[in-house]
Amino acid sequence: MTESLYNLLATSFRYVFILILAVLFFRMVSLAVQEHRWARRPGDSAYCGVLETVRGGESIHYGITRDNVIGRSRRCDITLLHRSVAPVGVHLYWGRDGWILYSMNGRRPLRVNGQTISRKTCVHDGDLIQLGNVTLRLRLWDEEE
Amino acid sequence: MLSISRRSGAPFMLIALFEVFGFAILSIREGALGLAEHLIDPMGIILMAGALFLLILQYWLLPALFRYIDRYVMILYNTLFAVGIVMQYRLNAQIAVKQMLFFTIGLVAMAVIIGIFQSGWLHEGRRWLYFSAGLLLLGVAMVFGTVTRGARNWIEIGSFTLQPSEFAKVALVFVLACYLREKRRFWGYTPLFAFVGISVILLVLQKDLGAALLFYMTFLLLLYVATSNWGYLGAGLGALAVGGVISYKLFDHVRLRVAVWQNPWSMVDDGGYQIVQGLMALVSGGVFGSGLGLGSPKYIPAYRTDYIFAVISEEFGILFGVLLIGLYVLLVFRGAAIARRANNAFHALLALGVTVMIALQSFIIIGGVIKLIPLTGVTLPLVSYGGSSMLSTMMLMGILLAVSQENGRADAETLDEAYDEEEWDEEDGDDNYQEDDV
Repeated sequence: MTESLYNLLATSFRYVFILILAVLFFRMVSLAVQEHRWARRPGDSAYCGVLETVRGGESIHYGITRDNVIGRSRRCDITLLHRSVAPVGVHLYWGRDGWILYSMNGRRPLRVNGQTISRKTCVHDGDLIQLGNVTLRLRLWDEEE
Repeated sequence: MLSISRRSGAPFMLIALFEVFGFAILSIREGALGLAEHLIDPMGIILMAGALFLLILQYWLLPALFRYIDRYVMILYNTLFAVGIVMQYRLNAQIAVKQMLFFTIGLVAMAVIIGIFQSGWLHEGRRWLYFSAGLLLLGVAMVFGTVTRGARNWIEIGSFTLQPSEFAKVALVFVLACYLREKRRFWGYTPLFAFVGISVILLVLQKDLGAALLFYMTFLLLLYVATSNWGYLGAGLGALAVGGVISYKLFDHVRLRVAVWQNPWSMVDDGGYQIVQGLMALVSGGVFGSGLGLGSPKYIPAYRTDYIFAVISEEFGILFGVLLIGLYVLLVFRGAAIARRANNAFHALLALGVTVMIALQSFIIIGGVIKLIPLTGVTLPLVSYGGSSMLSTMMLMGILLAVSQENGRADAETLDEAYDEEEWDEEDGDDNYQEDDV
């Protein structure tokens, strides 16, 4: 390698270095903006994903935040208008081990991907959650990447 | 912090890419320019491997040890370090090896601080420990300090040299958080005023004006944040102006700094040389830089430390320099966000103290280099060469990450513990909500 080749290499790569730092900078800005939108505050309606109705109930996308109580009652964060669903069915939240689904009603069965859940389980993007006769698919925007 | 924990892979890859390209180009520089026998410098490859190893180690190990630490802050300090280590290797390979060693020690110190913080040992009740540690560090420099570039702020221990004022910054952050966490009447802050007053006087006597300004402004901004009292801020700024005028009248070196700042070109041979060379480096690099390894950084005095920003802007370009400033701005915003989410005033003030300290230090040195304010010698955090500076900055990062860890743990455990401790009364499930049946 000669001096002129090195000069060519170094002058060409200065654009690459600026590009790397610019992409990194704007990526960090974008992450900060997204997190700001998702920040958990009382009354904040920022969503981390959706629950899609697969079977039973109305065909609706329910936006989920980091802390959601799901059931038939209008007091729940997400109200599923179906008789088979318990008034206060499950709590879906971001906890120690990721996304946690907690059964708040022992009488009515809760199934995740066909498996009956006794109390508490971790859930992931794409999981099928069955509350009574309503089946929902969990879509987490965070895990899709 | 939810999203960043799963989306930090791409930024870490970009940092790795920057290090690979930087070290790869520089490792063939001397061979290509005929300055060395072999084309590839093995030291460059070793440093590249070391930098990548530290990056991967942090990416996997730190979140495994401390589940909720903020990866956003990790990405930012690693980016700044990556820019710094590539530039240090460009300037001197041996110095880069030392800098990497300092960073490794700094990482250990950071992890230790997070661990101790998590154990609850570093609580607000130990104010006298922080108080005496801060004054002891500055006192030691005053008594045993050696004069380097006009300032008596270095002490020699065997073959090692240390700058105690760098570590006193960590003590200052703790002292401020301890005293400002609860509202007091004016006289209630007397010990704090005494601590800051003595520290600033000791630093001015040591001619370490940059550190003195940093200490005082951090104190003033945190005092205002904690009390929301415009009177304190106004009086503090007034005292700063009076102190500045008195220093200008009393000390020759202060008068020289101001004169050089006003017109460095007329005093090139009498103190203005550094600023002139720095400005020329900035201009000669232009928007896109001269290319890595193609600048002339060694004409600038203190090119590895205080003037590293001019060196980076010369070779990587002013646009790159602006993006680098942007990263410090993001670090400041993130620090403020961590402080805002803190569970108590002590944690919030610790996080904010670290943030203000990093913001001011970056502003003081970059502002000095671009001739926005008179030049005072402080390092550019995580980029400039210096063991004491690197170690103290990593300790400050440790405090910030420790507060973020506490925030995340408290958030997640609020929900988990509620379910761990209380069993849901199944009978209540249906009965309490009958009125809501649809």
